[in-house]
Amino acid sequence: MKTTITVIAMALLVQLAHAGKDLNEFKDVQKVKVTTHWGDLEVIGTPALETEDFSLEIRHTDSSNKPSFIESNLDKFVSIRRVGGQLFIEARDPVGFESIDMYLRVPSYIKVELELLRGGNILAENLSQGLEINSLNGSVEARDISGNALITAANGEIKASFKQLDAEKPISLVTMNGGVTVSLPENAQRDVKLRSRKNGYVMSDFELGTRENITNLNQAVYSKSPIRNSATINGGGALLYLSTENGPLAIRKYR
Amino acid sequence: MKEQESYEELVEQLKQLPKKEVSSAVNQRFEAMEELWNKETHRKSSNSPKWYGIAASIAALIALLLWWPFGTSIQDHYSAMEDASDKMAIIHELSAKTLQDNDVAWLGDVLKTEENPNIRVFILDLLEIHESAETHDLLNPLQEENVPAVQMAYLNLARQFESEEIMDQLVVFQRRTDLDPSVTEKVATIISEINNN
Repeated sequence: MKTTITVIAMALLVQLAHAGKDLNEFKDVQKVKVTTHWGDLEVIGTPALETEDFSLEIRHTDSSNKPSFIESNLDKFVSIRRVGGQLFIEARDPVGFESIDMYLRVPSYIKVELELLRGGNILAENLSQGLEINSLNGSVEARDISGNALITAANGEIKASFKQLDAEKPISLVTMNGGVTVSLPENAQRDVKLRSRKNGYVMSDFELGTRENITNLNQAVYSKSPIRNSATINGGGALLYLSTENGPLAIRKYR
Repeated sequence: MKEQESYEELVEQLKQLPKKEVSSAVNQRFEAMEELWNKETHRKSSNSPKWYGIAASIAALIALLLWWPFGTSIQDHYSAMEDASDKMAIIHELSAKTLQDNDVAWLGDVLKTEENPNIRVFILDLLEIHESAETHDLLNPLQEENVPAVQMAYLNLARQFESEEIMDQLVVFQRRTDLDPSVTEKVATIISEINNN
């Protein structure tokens, strides 16, 4: 009896884990572009063959503020279309005040581009083929990324940690309001450009090679004057561009 | 390990073999053949028609002309790229040198067509550093720009001009109703600064 219950429970768990839209038929695309208006966006890379999965779950919150996972008729909320080697996942234009949270599991070898047009938080994790994000309101976190990233935000901080870098490709993290934190492997070689127009300071775990005087380097004291410096890490290399209009900058070692 | 030992043993045995020279007859025959071969080679090369060498040189020159990357400037490389990261790497390359007028004009063109906001911000940042970038036409795309961080980068560039010539552009931009409050504040500050000057 116990065994039967366990088997049923496991089957239910597996079913729950695969709830939402199965996208495995699109595993051969090179790039996925997700566009949404309001709502959180979570994209998790599935690296190992045995755990490789390509699926989308969505949670809809209507004007009465009641969130619910959409089990069927997902196509009513998002459109999914393939054009050549690219897959486009687009949330519908908001109907009244609504938000659509998206939870995407994607094979990590697929390149990902995310666009959040109005507001919500973004988390992208474990992606190995580079990442592009353009967000308006909300924080952006790219965790345990390999390759490189180009991220733009308006109102919200950016955090990006890289477990491995593509030595030839740039990293660009730009926000208007909020701090920018990047974590890099200890042996990373980069040409660094630091921009903080106001309320900035720079924290760095790496020794920054520069003849310039970097205002408030490794001192958490907000500067009233703009910070605009160039430096190198481990002798220099591809570009690391960190820019904010308002906030501090930090370069950490990946741990 | 055993294999290595047996090889070492074999080498030792070979070293102990008596050194033996070939017979003088064999040696003489070899020298005669070598002399004949040298003479034959020399005769063939001296008898080759001169046009053969000229044709070979022309063919090599044509091949070189076809292969040589004429016009593969940074701009050409950029146009050939599809990936935004690769494009940005090229702009980074450009940032290492002093911008010439043609570079600035080209960057202005890229701003009108480039889709990636990170690249647009980086280009505007680059133009802000270089004094040669004093051309107000660069601000024209601001009116169509929708990404706040890029709008802000345009305004940072505009601030460098401190000129009444850009006032009309700023006033038109300020009328937009979809601006982020930070952008609205920034454009108002710049207009005020220009008026006060």
